[in-house]
Amino acid sequence: MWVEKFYLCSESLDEIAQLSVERSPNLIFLFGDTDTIASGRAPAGLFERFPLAAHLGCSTGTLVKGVDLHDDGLLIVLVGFESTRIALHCEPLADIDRSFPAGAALARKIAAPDLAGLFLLSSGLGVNGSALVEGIQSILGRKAVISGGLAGDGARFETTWISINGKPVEKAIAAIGFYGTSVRLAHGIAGGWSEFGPTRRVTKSAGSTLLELDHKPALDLYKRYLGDEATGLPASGLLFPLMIWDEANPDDAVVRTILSVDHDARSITLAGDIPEGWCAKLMRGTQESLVEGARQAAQHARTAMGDTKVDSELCLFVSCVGRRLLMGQSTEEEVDAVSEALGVATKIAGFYSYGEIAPQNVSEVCGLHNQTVTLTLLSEAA
Amino acid sequence: MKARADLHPLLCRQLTKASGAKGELDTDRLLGLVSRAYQEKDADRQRTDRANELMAEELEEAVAASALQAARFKAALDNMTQGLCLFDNNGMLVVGNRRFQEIYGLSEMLCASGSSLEPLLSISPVMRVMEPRFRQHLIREHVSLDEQHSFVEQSWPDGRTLIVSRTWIVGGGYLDTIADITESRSAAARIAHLARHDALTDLANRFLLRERLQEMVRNAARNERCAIMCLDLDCK
Repeated sequence: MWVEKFYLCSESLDEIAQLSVERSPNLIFLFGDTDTIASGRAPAGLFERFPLAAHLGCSTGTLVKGVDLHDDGLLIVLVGFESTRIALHCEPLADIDRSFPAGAALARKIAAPDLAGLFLLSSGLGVNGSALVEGIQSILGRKAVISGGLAGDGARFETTWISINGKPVEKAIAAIGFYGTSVRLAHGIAGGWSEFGPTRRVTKSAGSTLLELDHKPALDLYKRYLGDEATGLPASGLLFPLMIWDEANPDDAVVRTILSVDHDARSITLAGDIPEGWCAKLMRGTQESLVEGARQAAQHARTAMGDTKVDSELCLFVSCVGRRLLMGQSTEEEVDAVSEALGVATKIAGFYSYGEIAPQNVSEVCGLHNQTVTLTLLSEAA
Repeated sequence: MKARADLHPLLCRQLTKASGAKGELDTDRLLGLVSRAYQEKDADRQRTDRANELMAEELEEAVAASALQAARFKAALDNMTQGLCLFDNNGMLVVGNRRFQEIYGLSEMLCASGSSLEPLLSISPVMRVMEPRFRQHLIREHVSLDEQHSFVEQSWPDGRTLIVSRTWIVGGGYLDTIADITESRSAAARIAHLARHDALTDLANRFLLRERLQEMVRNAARNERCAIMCLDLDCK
């Protein structure tokens, strides 16, 4: 397997035609700012240049190239496999309630006896990420190896896009399936956030919309904690993620993050389900704890990959936009920490998302995560 | 401009970002980046302070609400007509209401000390004045309640009649309730007497006569002999 990365800033997108690439890639990942992906011009040019490769990408507020972050432009990752078969499939996602069936329909297209895993990208808004993953698992099984994330739009939360073979699609899910015995996939996930304050009860919710905590409007609680920063909702809500858990299974707590708010209904919509009756606690993080979380994710991924001999290794880095908002200019420290833990030979590329998808470190069951760093190590046995 | 190794990593990155392709430093851009970093730190500190303050407020409210709830719960327990005592899975007293304290003459302090049942009953001033064998019998009856014998009716030497009931709690421990039924037992006896005696003379009435005759008939069926003496109280 080989990997090459290119970054083009917004002013130099026309340089796609002049990219110096001597080999023909099978797979191209592309991550770009919302306008670049939405316009479709640069991705279409890239598809024209490499028409035989599968092109999959998404919009984001911040893209990750190595240890550098960029808030605009286009990141292009070219991957060539020696013996691994890949396939790109997509499915429309009309609205949030179609998340589960869309996931199931995509999984039916991608299923095969030698499927080793898949990398999934989804629209970042108007999606129930946990239902989407459950839909895929309903076809491929609970232990299906799924990673990826929800497209982003930085702190704007206006529109998100998936790029499929050069075309921008606003409401869709798409995945690359990796087939065969040569491909190597390993994952790591960590948060670094700490819970604080009293335990609350989800007293009213519907799907992924949280209406009340302890019989009080959920949005009021967020506004109270955010103070002046409440004007930045929904983005500023990511500074205080919500940890939720079923009282019967306190060890299986999940972290949810805000995707949108309804000021009239005083409700918030999260990236995944929030069942009524569950417990909830606010969380907060520090730069140091988030960086340490990223380091732990990388260490876990490195351990999970084992000592398989590989020619080249790509790390698909998907981190939550909430971490970017909290860490500001120090965000690069979490990428530095990942790079240090993985080793300089591993090529890092990725984006800041509205939701991350990866297997749990311990149970290895995939799910939607929020406010985390999730890493997918991709390589091919030599 | 080349970043120096002794500088903070963030400043190094800012210098790199503010430097052109030929290494020339854009001072305005650098100042903007540095200023924004200070703003981010300030915002983070203010956010943390605010969160700490609100968290403390919420926890105080929760503690106050919890105290209020506990006070209401105690008031409800103390206004029960039955005595109630709850023991944990180690058999230690968790809570005993006011009526429980009154029945056994125990102080609130003794009930708060986390004692087990038998020592509590043994030091009960009400029971200590009883004849020792009778006291031991009552204590044993109460302490040995189990799932097969979950209640017992006790007649105390002071004339009181009590029913002690035990309920086992899921996860361990048990709840005893003690009801003083002296008055209801006395009322029942009084009603039974009224039913069998004339209200004016307090002499036995026909109902009691019929009961006794039926009893004699039953006895006669077992070949027991009986005699009837008829005494006319009419003095005319």
